[in-house]
Amino acid sequence: MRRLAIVFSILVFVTAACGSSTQSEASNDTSGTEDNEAPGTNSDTEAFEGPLVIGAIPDQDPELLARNYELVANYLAEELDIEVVFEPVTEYDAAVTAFGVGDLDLVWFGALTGVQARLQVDGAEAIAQRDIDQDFTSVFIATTDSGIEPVEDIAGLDVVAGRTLTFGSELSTSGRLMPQAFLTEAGVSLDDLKGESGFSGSHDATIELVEAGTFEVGVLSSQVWDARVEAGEVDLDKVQLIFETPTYYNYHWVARPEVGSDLQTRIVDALKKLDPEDPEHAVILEFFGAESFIDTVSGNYDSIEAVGREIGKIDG
Amino acid sequence: MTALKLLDVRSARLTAEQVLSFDDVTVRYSAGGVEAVAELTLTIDAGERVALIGPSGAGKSTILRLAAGLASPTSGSVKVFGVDSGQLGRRNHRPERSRIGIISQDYTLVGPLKVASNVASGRLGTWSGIRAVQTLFRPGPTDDIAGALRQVGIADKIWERTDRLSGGQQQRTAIARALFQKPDLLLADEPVSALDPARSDSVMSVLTEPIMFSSTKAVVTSMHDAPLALRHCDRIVGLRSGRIQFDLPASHVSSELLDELYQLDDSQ
Amino acid sequence: MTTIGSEADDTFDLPVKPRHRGRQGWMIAVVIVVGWSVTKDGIDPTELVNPGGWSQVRAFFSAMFNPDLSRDMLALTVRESAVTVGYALVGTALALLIGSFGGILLTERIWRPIHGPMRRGRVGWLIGRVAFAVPRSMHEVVFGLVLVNILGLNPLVAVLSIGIPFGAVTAKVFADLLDEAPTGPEEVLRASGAGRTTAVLFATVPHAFADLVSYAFYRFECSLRSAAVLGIVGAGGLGFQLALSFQSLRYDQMWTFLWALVLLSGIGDRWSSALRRRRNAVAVEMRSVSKIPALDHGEPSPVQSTQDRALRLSALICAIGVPISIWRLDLDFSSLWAPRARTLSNKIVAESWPPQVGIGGFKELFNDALDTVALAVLSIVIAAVLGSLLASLAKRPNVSLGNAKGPWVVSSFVRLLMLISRSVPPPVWAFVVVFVLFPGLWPGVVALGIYNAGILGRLQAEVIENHDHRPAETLAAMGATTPGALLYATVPALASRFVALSLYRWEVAIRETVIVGVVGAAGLGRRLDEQTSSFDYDGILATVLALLLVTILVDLVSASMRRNLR
Repeated sequence: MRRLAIVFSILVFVTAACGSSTQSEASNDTSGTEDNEAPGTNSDTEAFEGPLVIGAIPDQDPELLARNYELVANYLAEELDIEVVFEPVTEYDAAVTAFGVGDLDLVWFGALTGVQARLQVDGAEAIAQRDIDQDFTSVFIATTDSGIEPVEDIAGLDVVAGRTLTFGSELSTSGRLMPQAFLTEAGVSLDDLKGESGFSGSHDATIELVEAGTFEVGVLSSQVWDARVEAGEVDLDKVQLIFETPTYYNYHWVARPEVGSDLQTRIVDALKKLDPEDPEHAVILEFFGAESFIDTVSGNYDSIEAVGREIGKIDG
Repeated sequence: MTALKLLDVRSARLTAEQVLSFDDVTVRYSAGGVEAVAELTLTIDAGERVALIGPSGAGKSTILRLAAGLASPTSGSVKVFGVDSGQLGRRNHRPERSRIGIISQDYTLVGPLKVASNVASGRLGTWSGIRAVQTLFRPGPTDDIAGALRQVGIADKIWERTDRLSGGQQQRTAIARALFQKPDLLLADEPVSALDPARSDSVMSVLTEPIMFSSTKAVVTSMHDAPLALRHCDRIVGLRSGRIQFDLPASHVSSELLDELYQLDDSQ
Repeated sequence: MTTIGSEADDTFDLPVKPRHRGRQGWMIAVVIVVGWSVTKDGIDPTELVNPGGWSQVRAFFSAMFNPDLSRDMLALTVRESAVTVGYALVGTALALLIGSFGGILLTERIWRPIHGPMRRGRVGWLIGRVAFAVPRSMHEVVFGLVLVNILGLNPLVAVLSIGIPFGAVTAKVFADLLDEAPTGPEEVLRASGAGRTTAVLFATVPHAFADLVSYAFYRFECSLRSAAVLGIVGAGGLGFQLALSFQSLRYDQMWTFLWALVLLSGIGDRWSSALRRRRNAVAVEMRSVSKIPALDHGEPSPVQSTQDRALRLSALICAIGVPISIWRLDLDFSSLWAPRARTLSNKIVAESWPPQVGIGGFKELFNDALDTVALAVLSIVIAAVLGSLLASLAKRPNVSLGNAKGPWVVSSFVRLLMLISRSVPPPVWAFVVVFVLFPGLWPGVVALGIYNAGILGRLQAEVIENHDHRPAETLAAMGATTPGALLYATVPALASRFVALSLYRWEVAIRETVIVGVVGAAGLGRRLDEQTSSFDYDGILATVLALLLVTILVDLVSASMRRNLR
C-alpha cells in the first residue's frame, strides 16, 4: 500500500503542476514571465541591479562577434557605471529564447528575431538602431561561373529559378526573410530552385560558400557584403553582385522591461553618443558598419512582423 | 559373439594403411607448464577401433585435437594419412582433411542453423562452392541426412533449430554430422557423454559398426565409461597424466588395470 | 545392435519441412520498407547531388590532417573538453541515481507478494513502467529544447537532458537485472521477517549492482557523445566550440575539437569496454528493453578479482569527478525550484497546451512521420552494411586451423576509422554532407548512416571477437574450405546477432533523427526545427507527441522482429 501511496503522490504532484499552469495562463498575459513581479513596477522606482547581460544574434563570424561585443560591453559598463557581460549564443533562436527567459537583458536583434523576442516578453521594447537600419537592403550574389548577369528590378530575380541558392540563417531578416519575400514577389517559389535551398548559418558563410561554388546564388545583408568587399576579402572574379533589394527596417537593440526606462534611456544616450571622430568609438561603429546609432520604436517593425507571419516564422 | 566373425571379414578386406601416428609427442599449453601429453608414441592402423580411456586430465582430448590438426605438438610429430598434422591446415591437404570426421566434446554445432544443415555441413569438404551455397538453403540429400539422424534416433528433429535441442540431442546431431560425412578416420571425444546408458550403447554401435563394412577405416574415441569402451572397441589405450599406462587389446584389459588407471592420486 | 536394427527399419515419416511464415513475412516486409524508403525522396541524382559542394567536403577532410594546434586553441580545447566530460560525468551520475531508485520502483519484486501472482501491485507496477517509458523514448536534444525554455542558458540543461532519458533507460535495465536475480536470498530474508523493500535492498540489489555499475560505464560512454551533441545545440563544451567554428567555416579549428572528441571517445570506449568485458552491457540493455535474450554468447564468466578492483577504482575516480564537475561547471541545482523556473514552466505549458498540428494538418504530420521512419531505416541499412564490412576488417573471424589474424595495420586503421565516424557528432556529419546533397532525406540518411556505422561496427567487432569459432574450426578440420566454413558456421552464428544489433540501433536511430533535422534533413526532426525557430510551442508539442508515438511503434516492431530471430 505504501508503494501505491508513493506513486499516487507523484501523480498528484504532476497533475498539480499542470493544474497550476493552466490557472496561471490568464495571469501570464498581464504579468509576463519574470519572477512574479509585474513589468514596470521596478522600472521607475528601483534601479536595475547588474550585471547587464548583453547578447547578439550570431549573424557573423563568432570570433569577430566575441571580440567586438567585448568592446561594446566595456564601453557600456564605463558609460552606465554598471557591470556589463556579453553572453554568446550559436543560434538565432537561442538568442530569442535566452532573451525570452531573461538570461539576456539587452540584445542586438535582426528585425525578425526582434519581433519574435518582443512577442515572447511583454513590455520589451525596441530602443535603438543604426542609421543604416532605417533603409536596410539585402544583396543577391552569384558565382561568375553561373553566367547570371546583374538584374534591374525585382521582376528580374526570376533568373535564379533553376539555380542552387543558399540563405544565411533561417531566422535572418536580411539573409532569409526579406530575400524570400522579394523572390515571392518576383514569382519565384522555393520549389523553383534547383534542389532545396541551403542555410549557410551566417552572412560570412554565405559569401564563402558562393565563392567556393557550393551554391550558385546567395543572399545576405548588403552591409556585410559591402564591408567584406571594401576589406578586399571577396574574390570578385568568382562572385558578383546581381541585385540589391529595396529598403526595409532591420537590426535594433531590444531591452527587457526589467532594465527599466531610466537605464534604457541612458543606454540609448550612450549608444547615440558614439562618435566616429573618437578613435575608440570608431572601432565600435566600424564593426557595426554605421556612422551613428539613432532612436527607434517597436512600431517600425510592424511590416516585418507581417512578412514573418506570411512566411510562417511568426506563429499565431 | 558376432564380433569374432566380423573381425575376420575386416582383416581380409583392409590393407594395412597407417592412418594415424604419434612420434614422441609432447604438448605443453604454456611454456614450462604441465605436460598435457608427454612423449607419446602411438600408431593406429586402418581397421582399428581404439578407445582412449583414463581419468580427467589424462590427455585424451589433446590427443584427439592433435589428430584433427586442431592443436600442434610442442615437440615430436603427428602424422595423419601420412601428412604432418601441422601442415593439415594448408589448402593442398584439403582432401586429407575431408577424410577426418570429428565429434567434439562440445559438439561444435552452429546454433542458429537447422539440424539438417548442421548434418549436411559434414560433407562441406567434398562440395564445390556452389553446391555448398545451394545446400545451405536446401539441405540435402535429404534421405542421407534423415538416415544419419535416424541412426541416432532424432530424425523427427530434422527441421528444428539446433540451439533449441537438448544437450543429448545436440550431441547426437554432431554424431549424425560425422555419420553423414562417412570419414575414413573418425575422431570422437566423449561422444556419448550426454546420453543415457541404453542410448550410449546403441550410438557406440553406430559409430563403430561402419568399420566392419570398410566405409570407415579407423575410429579413435575417448571415453570415461570403461565397460562401454571394452564393449565397442578392439584396442584400449589407458592414459594418465599425458602418458600411456597400457595399450592392449580389449580382451586383455583386466579390472585391476582399470582400477589402477582410475586410482585417485593422493600424493597431490 | 538390436536397437539400431529396429530403428533403422522404422520408416516413420519425416516431419514436413516447416515454413517459417513469421520470418519470411518479416523479410518481405523489410524489403518492401527499404524499397519504399529509397524511393521516398526520389533517387534522381541531379535533384539530390550538388556537385558544387565537393570543394567544401575536400576542404573539410583535408583539414583533418592539419588541425589548428596553436597554443590558445589547445588551451581552449582542453578547457572545453573538461566541460564536455563534466556534463557526461554528472549526467551519468544523475542517470544512475534515477536508475537506482527507478529500478527498485519498477522491479516486479517489490510489487509482487512473496508467493503467487502479482495482483494488486500490478497497477502500481504498470504505472511506473509507463511513466519511465515516455522519457526513454525521447532524444536528449528534445529534453534540451524544453529545458532551455525553463532554465535558460544554464549548464543544468545539459546535465538534466542527459540524466533524465538515460536515467529512464537505466531504471528499466536495473529493474530487469533485479527481476532476473535469483529469488533465494530474498525469500530467506522475507521468511525470517524482513519487509519486502528491505529484503529486495539487502538480498537482491547487491546481486544486480555489479552489473548495474558496469552498465553505467557504458552509459557514460554514450553520455560523452551526447554531451557533444548537446553542445552543438548550445549547451557549451566541445560541441559548442565546434558549432562556432563551423559557422565561420574554420575547418582546421573544427578538427582540433573533433580530434579531442575522438580522443575522449576512444578513451571512454576503451575504458568502458574493458570494464564490461565481463558482461556485455549492450546485450544487457537489448535484452532488458525488449525482454528478449540478446543472443549474447558470452555467459557471465566467473568474476575476476582484478576486474572488480578496476571497476571499483573507476567508480571511485568517477565518484570524485562528479562533485569536482559540479563545482567547476557551476551547477546550481537550486535554480530548479527557483520561482523563475516555475513561472517559465507554467508559461511553456500554457503556450504548448493544447497541441496544434498546424499548417498542413495531420496529413503533413503523418508524411513527416513516414519520412522519419524512412530516414531511420535507410541510415541503419547503410550502417549495418558498412559496419559489418568494417567490423570484419577490424576483427577477422577465425576460421582456418591455426591463427589467421588480419594484418594489424589494416585492423588498426579500420578501428580508427570507426572511432572517428562515431566520435564526430551526427549534426557535424550532416553539415558536411549537406554541401554535396541538397537538404532533404538523404543528407540525414548519410550522416546517421556514417555515425551508426561506427557504433555498429564496434559492437559487431565485439560480437566477432566473442563468438564461438569452434564450429568453424571443426568444419575446416573436416575438410571445409575457408569460405565454406565461413558460410556454414560463422555467417549463421553472426548474422542473427548482427541483425539483432542493427534492429537495436534502428530503435536508437529513430530517436536520433531529431538531431539531423537541424540541417534540413526530412521528417519530424526538420519539422521540430522549423517550429523551434518559429517559437510555435503548441506545434512543438504535437510534433513531440508524434515522435513519441513513432518511437514506441518502432520499438514494438523491432522487439517483435528480434523475438522472431530467436
